[in-house]
Amino acid sequence: NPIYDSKSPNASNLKISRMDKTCGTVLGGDEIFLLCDKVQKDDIEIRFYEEDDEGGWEAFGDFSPTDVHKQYAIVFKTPAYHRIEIERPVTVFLQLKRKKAGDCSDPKQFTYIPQVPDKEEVLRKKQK
Amino acid sequence: SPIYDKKATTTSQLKITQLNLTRGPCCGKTEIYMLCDKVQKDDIEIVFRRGSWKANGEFAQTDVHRQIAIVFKTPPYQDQDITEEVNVSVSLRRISDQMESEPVPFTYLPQNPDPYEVKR
Repeated sequence: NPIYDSKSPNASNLKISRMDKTCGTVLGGDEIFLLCDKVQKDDIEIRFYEEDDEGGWEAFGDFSPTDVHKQYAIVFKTPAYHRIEIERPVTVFLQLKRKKAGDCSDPKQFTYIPQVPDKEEVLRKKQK
Repeated sequence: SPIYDKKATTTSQLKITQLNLTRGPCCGKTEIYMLCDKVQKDDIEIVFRRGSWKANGEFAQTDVHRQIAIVFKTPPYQDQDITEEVNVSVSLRRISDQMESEPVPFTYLPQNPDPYEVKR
């Protein structure tokens, strides 16, 4: 068994405390403020994922090391969902993941909202 | 001149780095995430100001995250009948010595931007 130094951020547990948003557009690009336990700015990623029988899906939040604030907060943009054409909201998970060690935080839920059809499209459908 | 211990949150400079939202309705209660330099959770307040008006952001000590972020609610603006946007300033203030950060802007929005529908 490995012996962890509890003072080292590399060994401490990852944890998401709070997020300012838990839903956003299926297209991605929504800015989220995430408050967390201690992370290293160049060894952390935010993994969005879905698990299913066919292997599932994953994508990563978009941010640079300068978007990590004092090791305890991250401002990032959501990735697009893998299918843009959803008709109902879809709930997936996200977690913090250390790049080198590969360990993860407990997941939080995030809900992708369908695109609002534009007026022209609604009119087109009405005319049919 | 005083010698500051940069690590002591009782005397260090206060600084607001970023707000997740910079606009909200004049009725207040908008939840805001503020990222800041280190603060003491029991010795900090968030002051909204315009002219002689002043009100505090609402939060509990448990809303201060690891000294570097505060989740708070905006106070209502003094005038609930504004018809145009009003710009105010937001600062961090240490209660013990009344030191303040540089202000950042926040905009209050009218509840109903055109109550008499004159512009329609």
